Amino acid sequence: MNEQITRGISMNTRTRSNTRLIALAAFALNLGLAGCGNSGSDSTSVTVAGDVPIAYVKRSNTITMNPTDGTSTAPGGDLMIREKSSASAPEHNVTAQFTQGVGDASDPEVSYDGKKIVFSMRCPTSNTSKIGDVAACTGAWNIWEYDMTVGGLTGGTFRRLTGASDSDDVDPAYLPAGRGFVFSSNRQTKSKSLQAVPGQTYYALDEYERERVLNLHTMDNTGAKIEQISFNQSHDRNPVVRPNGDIMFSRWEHVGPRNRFAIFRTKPDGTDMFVLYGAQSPGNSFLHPRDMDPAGKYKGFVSSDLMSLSRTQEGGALMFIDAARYSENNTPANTTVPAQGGQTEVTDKALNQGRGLSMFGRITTPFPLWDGSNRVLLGYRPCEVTRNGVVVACATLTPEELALLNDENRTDAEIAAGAVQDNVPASYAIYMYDPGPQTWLIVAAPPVGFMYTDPIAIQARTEPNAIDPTAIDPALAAKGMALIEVRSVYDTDGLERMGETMLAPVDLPAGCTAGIAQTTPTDTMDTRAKVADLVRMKDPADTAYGCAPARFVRATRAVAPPSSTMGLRSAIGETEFEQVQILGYAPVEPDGSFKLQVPADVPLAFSIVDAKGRGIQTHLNWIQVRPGERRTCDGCHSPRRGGALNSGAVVNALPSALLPSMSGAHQSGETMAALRTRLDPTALNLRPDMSYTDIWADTSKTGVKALASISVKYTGNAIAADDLVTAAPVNGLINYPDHIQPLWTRARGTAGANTCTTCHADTKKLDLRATIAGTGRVTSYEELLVGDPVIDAATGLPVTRIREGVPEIVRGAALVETMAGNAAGMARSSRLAEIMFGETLKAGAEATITHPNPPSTAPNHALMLNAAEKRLITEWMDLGGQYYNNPFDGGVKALVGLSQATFTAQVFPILRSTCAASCHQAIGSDKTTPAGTAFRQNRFVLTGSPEGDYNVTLSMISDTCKPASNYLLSRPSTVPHPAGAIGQTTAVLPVGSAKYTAIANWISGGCPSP
Amino acid sequence: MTTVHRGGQSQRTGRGLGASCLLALGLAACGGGGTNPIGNPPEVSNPVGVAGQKLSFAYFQKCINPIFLAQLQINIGGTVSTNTCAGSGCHDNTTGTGGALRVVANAQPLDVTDPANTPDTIRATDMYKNFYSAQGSVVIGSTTQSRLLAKPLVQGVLHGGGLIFANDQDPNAKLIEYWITHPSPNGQDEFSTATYAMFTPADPKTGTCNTQ
Repeated sequence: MNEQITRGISMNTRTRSNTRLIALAAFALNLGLAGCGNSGSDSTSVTVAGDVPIAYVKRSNTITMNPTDGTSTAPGGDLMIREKSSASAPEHNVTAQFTQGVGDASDPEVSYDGKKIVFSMRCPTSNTSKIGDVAACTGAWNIWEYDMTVGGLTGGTFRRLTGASDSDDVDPAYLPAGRGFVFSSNRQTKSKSLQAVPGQTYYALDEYERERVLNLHTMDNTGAKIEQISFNQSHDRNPVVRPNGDIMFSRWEHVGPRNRFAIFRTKPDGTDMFVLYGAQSPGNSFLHPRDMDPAGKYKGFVSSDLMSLSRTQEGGALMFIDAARYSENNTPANTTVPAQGGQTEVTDKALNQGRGLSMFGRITTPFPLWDGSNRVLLGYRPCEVTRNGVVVACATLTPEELALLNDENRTDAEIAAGAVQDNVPASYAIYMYDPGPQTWLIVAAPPVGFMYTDPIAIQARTEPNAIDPTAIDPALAAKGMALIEVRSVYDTDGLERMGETMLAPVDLPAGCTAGIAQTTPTDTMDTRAKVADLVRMKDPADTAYGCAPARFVRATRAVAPPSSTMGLRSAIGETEFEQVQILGYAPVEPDGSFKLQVPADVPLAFSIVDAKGRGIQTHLNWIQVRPGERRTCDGCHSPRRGGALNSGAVVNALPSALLPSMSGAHQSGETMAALRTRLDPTALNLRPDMSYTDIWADTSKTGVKALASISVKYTGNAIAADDLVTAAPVNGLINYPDHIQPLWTRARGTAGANTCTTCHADTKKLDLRATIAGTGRVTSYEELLVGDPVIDAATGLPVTRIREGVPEIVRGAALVETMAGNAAGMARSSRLAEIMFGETLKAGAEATITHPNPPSTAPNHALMLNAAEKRLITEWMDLGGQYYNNPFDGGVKALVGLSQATFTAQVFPILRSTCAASCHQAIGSDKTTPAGTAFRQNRFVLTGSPEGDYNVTLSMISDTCKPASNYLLSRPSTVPHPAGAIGQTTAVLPVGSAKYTAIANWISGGCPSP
Repeated sequence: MTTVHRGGQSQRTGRGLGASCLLALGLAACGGGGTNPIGNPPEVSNPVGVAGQKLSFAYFQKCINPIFLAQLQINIGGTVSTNTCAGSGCHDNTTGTGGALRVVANAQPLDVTDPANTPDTIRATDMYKNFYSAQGSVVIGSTTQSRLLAKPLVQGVLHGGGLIFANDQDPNAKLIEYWITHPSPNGQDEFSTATYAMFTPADPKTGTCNTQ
């Protein structure tokens, strides 16, 4: 047996009997104890080559762990140290004096000299433990350090670096040169007071409206000077420092249909933040990224565990990512790199990257060693299920049982009644994986009821480069602003986010055969076959000059979901998107460049809009700039490697048809936007309206024609009839009831003959009236945002389908698109825009069939609304069609009296058993279902985190004095629920049932005078 | 923040061993050897860290800063164009958007051999701002990871300014490479006189810039 352990266990062995490893682990552990302790005999025969001391965490296996849940916890966790990476080595619980069996620990990271461990720990205030004279426990996650410099592995000293009691600090890592730490925290040190709505200070929830957002923070070596350096709207997790000094981390990108974790990088001061890998690659969530040995075979690679967004206990497949040569899978840095490549699953057996059974198990928290061996420490758990309540290996499943467990069309009731259940807790053990011979050596097996994760090697590493803070513009920083330049929005990658495919024939002016002139790239390293011909596009004498579609950039920022409020979900509405604020507009110059000042430390997005203000694309991730930072982007979704298209000879080309005053002022390398804003610095400011005047074309030359001027304002237009007569948005926040609904009821035509609601008052067709629908929102909103059920022509009944075990009604296209498929602009993808502009844009055939053009007998709908009204409706659609964009309007109430403790004890278990089983789970958990396809049917996402599930449950409550009226009770107590359920006779949560009553009692507890 | 020494209160795994016994046996029996329980195994390399090292200020101001101001010509496929770093809205300190590299175009060189130019004096100058900014784009010792060189060569990164140096044999690229790979000795700052050896003769006032 010793021989077997010494040589390791091949993957093939593991596949035959995964549970055997646990037995081996237990044996090895016992052997180690015997060898190292009781007998005192020499046990060198059971160690493995290149042993190192390791640390890891022991945690309860009842914890629900998901990428979406950054602060999950359960009693029983501790930091463990094992003297060698061998099952026979002694193991020490070094934090028990603080946790006293009821705390939790996570995220250890070793210092670069290998003598300290920084980690996160949580323990209740009822614990008696002290650190010095201070109570050690605060009831929240804090950052701690264990210093072994004196005292060795088991006799070191502790210090608590943070002392949060109402926030959580997790995921620490050492900054080089003794500069302190980077960590993830929901303190939101800066962003909580820098919210979009003036005067509002609050903690933001993630974009599922569940957990307080974890963003990256830094602090000095004493735990002081805590600074927020990232400003994402959902979690930023797992930061580590790369050899070059960058911080690398996993970012939850959740904007509209985009819903995944990608690997990002930034400098330690939060400047130069950018995606590194995984935003457009196969798989959903890349977690725990770490650089592989810079001196090893995998130099430049990053290891990561790839999984779904939930329901895998943070376990997935082990990926090696060639981040040095690929920006995404099959997206090489240049033409010298093979076209195919990027990410590789290195285990010889494929592990499931989605949810469901993973026949060969799952891995978590990989830690590549930097000792030349290419080995990886990781947590591994085999595939296990229960059969009649007894845990068995998946290898014992019959083909019929396997088919049943993999059947995603089973209903909840069928799943619950099954003899075989996929419900075994994740009891990860620590393994040493060697990708060469494909061996898996057991290092540490947890006791029953626990898991071991987050292994690290306690060994020195080459200290990373220490990056000094980026030189900033102090004047800009003092204003809380930053500077951004995009060299050309037409510099776009193979996804063509700003390519010809985003345009419609109607976008092409007379005489244009294409909107974006094309040429062959001059750079031999460019991986694209064709690129925009910027030299032609900026030449006023060339036809391409007048064909280009991009005229303005619309800058927006996220409006973060506030914590401790109720009714938010109803206020946001039937859309993929959270609330958004318009910051303003700036012109896009003929070469596609723009340059402007933007607010720093806020989540920003840019949409390029056409001459009528319609977004050509939707920006599906948040970008940030730090105060005083100055950044350049090559383009819109441009290749992430290589030179900018608008550089060199291209940017320096000065067509003779340019005004001499402009071409004469041009400096080498300067884009048109850079030139314009240098000559007129006021042009750097965002403007409230779209306004453009051509300052480039020398119309004195034969055949040279300037671009038409554009000016569209809410009020104050050159033609008064183009002004809004209804309420205009304030602070860039558009609320449907306040700003859009009045447009439908505004009196138009003689005696109101052309008023929208004069005709559109039919619920079977289109009802634009301001009556209140069953949702509590105005009827017109529901009519525009929710498609009608598709009716089976043969039966006359609604068509239904099974999705994730639940039947749902198939609905036709809505008039307003809120999915932003292919990142297209949502107004241009909506039939409502096509009808009100009288143009065929990008709505698609299905929507056109469902919502045909008005009959010839109807008034010309393209003339029904004026310019300002069209702009306003367009903006509302492009933002996502929210009901309210200001979270403090429209029925969102401050939380009063709804106890989280009562929720956790009484309501949470009901939701777990009744609602979360299959319906209400995070999108992206199933790799076979494209993210976002079912989101409209499921905005109530439960992942098993008490805090997160509590917050999202609050969003389903709007009136604590009338419990039955809230979505939380009204929907599941109604038959059918979901709406497409067939043959359902009993409600999921019948009125008067014990579960119903428990929830109702909890809700009514929040009523001021029940 | 408070600190406590755990001393002899080592946590055990419930196996009934005294602290010293378990620790001693573990070390002796489990293959570690030696007296330091966190000593690395022999095969683990433990190179000296580079964090905190500085590049030469003298070499920067004489040999590197002028590159940022020069009109740099490049021939790509027969098309010649002119590039600059500090100008044209890119890395200019006042109007540029070119990321971390900021250059004050009219920064004046200083006589680093003049005793009046103390480190504090130099650190308050525009030339030092340029130095600080350029050094921030360098991973000391690594030409491939240093954006100051990878960007103008467009090697595995994006660069808004496109290709500036045709290849790594460009004379200016060689100067930058030499600067990156010749930091001040460990423990010495950016004004170390040891870096004067980067000139021939070894005098920052009269010497020419070495490239090898």
